[in-house]
Amino acid sequence: MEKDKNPKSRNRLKTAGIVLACGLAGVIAVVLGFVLADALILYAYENSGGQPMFYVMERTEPGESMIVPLTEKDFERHPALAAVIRGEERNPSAWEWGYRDQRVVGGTKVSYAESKALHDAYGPQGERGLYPLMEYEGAYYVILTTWP
Amino acid sequence: MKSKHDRRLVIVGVLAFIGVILLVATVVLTCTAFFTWLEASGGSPRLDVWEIRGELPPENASIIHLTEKDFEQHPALDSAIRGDNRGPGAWYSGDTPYGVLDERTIGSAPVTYLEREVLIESFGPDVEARNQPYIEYEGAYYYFLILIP
Repeated sequence: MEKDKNPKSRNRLKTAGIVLACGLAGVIAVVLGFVLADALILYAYENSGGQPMFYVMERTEPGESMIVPLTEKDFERHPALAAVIRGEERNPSAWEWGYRDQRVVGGTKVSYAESKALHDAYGPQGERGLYPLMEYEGAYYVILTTWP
Repeated sequence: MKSKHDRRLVIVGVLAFIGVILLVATVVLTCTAFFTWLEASGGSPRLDVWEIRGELPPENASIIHLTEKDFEQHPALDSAIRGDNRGPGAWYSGDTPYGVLDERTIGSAPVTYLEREVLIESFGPDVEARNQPYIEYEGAYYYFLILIP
């Protein structure tokens, strides 16, 4: 009896193995496809001649937003962030323009890749797409990236 | 032995085939979906700049003197006031945020919704007091409006 069963179960195992390998190959291919598409879209943008901009807005009150403290590591990782918040690109507007509880701290030109990295790190998060507030030396900041 | 070897080759071939097909399909579909979404997302807001003249500005008026840094940080304003999108029209008497004045169109440039917000936060108007500042550059006074499609 056992001799008869073995080849059958072996065959089943083989089939299961092939199906599993096919599935795995499919999943890997799809994930790679997304990564490649992302890189392609970024490449297409980089060569489009447009200029992405990066702005930082300061808010007086944190409101309901999630607050994330900015550390030296953030500034090291994103030199544009350091330049706008505490560097040569700081050019704050008056509080009275637009809404009085916020003002523009400054802005700078960035590459598409930098812009994407800043958006991924500090852009809207969660299902509601709320902008997290960055806290640095007692002030609250919102990070904005625009693509032409 | 040979048939086993062949079978293995066939399996690897089938796996590679599935992988390549799915990879290409994902890339093509994602790119197509992204660019279709971009095209379908409609027009972008437009920044329109006017120059005004007359006895300007009145006493106690809020004036923003544009600097090189402002132009650097707001490329749309730069291109409308002194760049590729500058194309002054004829002077006419029209309604401005400051009353009826002599004005002329100076230029317009497309902006994103976020840039619109940033421009309003930087150069007015004051939403609460409904006060529009005078924007000054090289002795000329400007105001802008951002039209949403």
